[in-house]
Amino acid sequence: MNESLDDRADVVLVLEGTYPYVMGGVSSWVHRLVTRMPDLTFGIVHLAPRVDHYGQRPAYSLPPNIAFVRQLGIVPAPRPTRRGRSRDRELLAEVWQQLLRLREGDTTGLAELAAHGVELQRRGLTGDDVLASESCWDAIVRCYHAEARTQSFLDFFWTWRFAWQPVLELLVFPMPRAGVYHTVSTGYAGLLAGLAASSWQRPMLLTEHGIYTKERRIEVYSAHWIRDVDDGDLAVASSAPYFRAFWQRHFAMLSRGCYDAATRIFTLYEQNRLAQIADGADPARCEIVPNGVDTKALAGAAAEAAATASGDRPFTVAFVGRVCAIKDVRTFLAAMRLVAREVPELVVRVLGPMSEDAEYAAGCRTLAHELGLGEQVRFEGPVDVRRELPCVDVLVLTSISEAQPLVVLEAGAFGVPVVATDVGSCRELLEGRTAEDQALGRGGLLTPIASPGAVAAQVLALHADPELRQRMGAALRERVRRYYDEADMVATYRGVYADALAPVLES
Amino acid sequence: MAGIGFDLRRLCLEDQGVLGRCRAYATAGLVAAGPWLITMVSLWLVRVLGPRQTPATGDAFLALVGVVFATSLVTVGGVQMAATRWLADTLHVRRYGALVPAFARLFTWTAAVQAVSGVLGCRALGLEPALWAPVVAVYTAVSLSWLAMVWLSLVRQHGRVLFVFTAGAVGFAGTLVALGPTADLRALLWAYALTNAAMVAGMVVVVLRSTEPADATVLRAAAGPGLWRLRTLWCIGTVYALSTWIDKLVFWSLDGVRILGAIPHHPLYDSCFYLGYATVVPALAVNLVHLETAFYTEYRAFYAAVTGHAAMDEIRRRAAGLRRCLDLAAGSLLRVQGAVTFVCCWFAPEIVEWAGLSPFAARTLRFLCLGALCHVLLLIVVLVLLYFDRQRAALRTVLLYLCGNAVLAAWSVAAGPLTYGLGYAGASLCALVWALLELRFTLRRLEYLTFAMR
Repeated sequence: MNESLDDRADVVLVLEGTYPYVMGGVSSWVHRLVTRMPDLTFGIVHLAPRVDHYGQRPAYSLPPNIAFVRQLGIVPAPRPTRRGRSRDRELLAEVWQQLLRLREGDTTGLAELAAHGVELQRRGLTGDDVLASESCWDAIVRCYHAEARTQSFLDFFWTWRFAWQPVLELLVFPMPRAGVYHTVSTGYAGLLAGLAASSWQRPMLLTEHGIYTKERRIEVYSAHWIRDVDDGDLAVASSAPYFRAFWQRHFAMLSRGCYDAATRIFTLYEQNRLAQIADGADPARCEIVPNGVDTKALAGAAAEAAATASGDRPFTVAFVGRVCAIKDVRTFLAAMRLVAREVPELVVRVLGPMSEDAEYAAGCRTLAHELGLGEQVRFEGPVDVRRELPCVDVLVLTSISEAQPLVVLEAGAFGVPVVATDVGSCRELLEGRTAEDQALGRGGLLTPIASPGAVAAQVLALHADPELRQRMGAALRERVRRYYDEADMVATYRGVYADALAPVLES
Repeated sequence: MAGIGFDLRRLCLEDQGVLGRCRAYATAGLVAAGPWLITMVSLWLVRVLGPRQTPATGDAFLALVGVVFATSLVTVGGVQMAATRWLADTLHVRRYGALVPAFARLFTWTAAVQAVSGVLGCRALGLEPALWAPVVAVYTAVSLSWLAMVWLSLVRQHGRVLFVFTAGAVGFAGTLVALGPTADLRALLWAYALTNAAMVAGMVVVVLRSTEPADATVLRAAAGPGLWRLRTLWCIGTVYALSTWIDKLVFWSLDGVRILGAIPHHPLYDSCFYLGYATVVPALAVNLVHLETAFYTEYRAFYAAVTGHAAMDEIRRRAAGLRRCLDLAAGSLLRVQGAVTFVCCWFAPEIVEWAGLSPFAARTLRFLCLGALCHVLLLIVVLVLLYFDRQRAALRTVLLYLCGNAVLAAWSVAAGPLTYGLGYAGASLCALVWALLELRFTLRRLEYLTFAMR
């Protein structure tokens, strides 16, 4: 990669739509990791659709050991393109040859691809230039004829462009140097980290909280913008969701590229590790490092809150998290409507940022109004959960996909029982992983996804039995204290970084 | 020429025999070259009805009007090209309310700029001050008429354009008769200026009556009708107009005479050029019939397949149809215009004799007829390139034509009278070959250019 800037750091974190611009579980994890290692310098390369997509102001106060934050817009505004000078054509043809190999699942040419990226940068070619080249067109036509001959070519063409444009932006992005590259997702960020590591001959680490391909699969199948059936006179009838499969394959390719480039692959729990292996990760490189919370600090805060508790307060149920589709806040609201019928004094609190998907958040407000929840629901935006969790009786998590939700660990630290969907590691967190862990008892109740009735029934069960609430809260608190302490997580990563940086430090 | 297609198709379809075709070609000829031919005839009337007692006055008038036409075409050519595209886009999105405000604004700006540049031009030429006012009036009115014609042809008012031009020619003839055989240059210029002003006024009325009233909501949008976005088209229009006249400018400056000590003129070259260029009317008519009927149908079908989510095989079938259609059009064009040019070259001695030129001019006329043939084919190819939005290719072509025409005209002057016109023919041929190569590339990679180079 071109060293166009003097940015250097011990660890360059390659992030996509998260820290430091977006609040959430992964962001919080990154922030804690960086903050707990003040002796290391970190650099951040943040990928977003456009550079200003999340604004220019970080959502977190950046610790002083963050040496730089660089943003990369992977879907930039259209720019004038050129067909490619004749002397560039050979290079462009080689780039597309490598990209097609990558598409076929062959990641052995990643280093060569990274070298081509350097050459593209040197010649001043942009991602749009590569897309406008005749080599790209030939690749499109070849793939179209091979796999989509009866589909709308217009849709195929634009799907191809939208899918590959970010990859090409990665290719021509001058990555800063680092002792080790660390990404917290596969996808575009993962591929960029892989390219940088191949280019600079440095180790690359991957910590995957949620499984990227799984999350994208949910997005792809619920996306309205993907065209399934044509309806024009000249259209080709197509009932098969070809383009959804196209996207799924594309995201799987990105993940595969990242897995193959990663020196070590981490995730939070066993089920995810198995999912990574199923997606092509080398089992020998896959490890588990659970998420953690600062149990000592939270225990102190909980004790303080208990001492100042006012006693009488209406039964309070809270949702904590980003108000977006993957958290399925609508199911939460529908469930609360059912609970409110039985518990008229119910207070429902939605605690979390509403900005990620403003349209969805607005729809949630409307739904709450239409369900007649009125004053009972409070959309409070991002808050300090340490201050608010002591005032909550039950925490509800209705996500359709999760990894190891930090909010469950935080609720546990405060002894708040949880009603959660049976996704990610929620079962492990609430019921225990090992026999010893399970002996601690259940920390909450599980429900299927998208089941307002089941969620309402579990919340009502907890409402009806204060002793059960207390018992579950205590079990969860003990489980978090024993198995999910942040200090353990930080120590593990400190060791991982030390191993990765060792050759640099020696030299 | 948008909009004429329906009428031409109707004529072709209603009577598919020779008569129907002839009517279609005649209509196309009138639409494509009618105003221009009427203008030529009305200027020729100066020789017949004008100051017969002082022929030099008529010569000075024609030379001056030639300079005015050349300058106005060059200065307004770019605006015409950009405005044509802007209008077509605006009609496509049915923003009819934006037409009049944009027209008014562009018209006002053009009038102001042309008036000022006209004064500067008179000064630069060294014209006597008494002539400045009528010359500037002619220059401004002629410039505005080019602009009004763009609006009128896009709103399908070809008949009214012809009517206005015919009425103007008749009015000018009447004025010439009224002025009598002793009219001086100033009177002739004022007569021509007033006639053109009346024609422009007539066209403005037609524009206002044939378009929807201004829509208040689009007034702001119309303030800048997006001409900056169309700067490449502006360049193409300007360069093309300049390249059409550059050989005349070279002849005027290197080998011409100065009438009244100021007006540049090259009697032999200018007369032969106008005659030679008049021979391409059939090509313009044939082109219009083909472009607006079969080609346009295939063109629409191709883009309908593209935007209608068709499979690639269907898009390729449509593209092949488009190529076939262009091959047929090229065949027709070459047969018809080739025959006309051949006949004109064959009878060049008789034509120059009829036009009152020396027999020596026959050779120049032959070169200029061949040059005009290549030139009109070049124009048609450039238009087809613009149909496919190949603006850079069109710009490259007209730039090549500009440079070639300038250099070869200079060579032609230096080489002597035997080569007069050969430079124009050579430059037109070279530019045509280049344009055909650009078109060939465009058609071979049509799908790629349509999708990938947006």
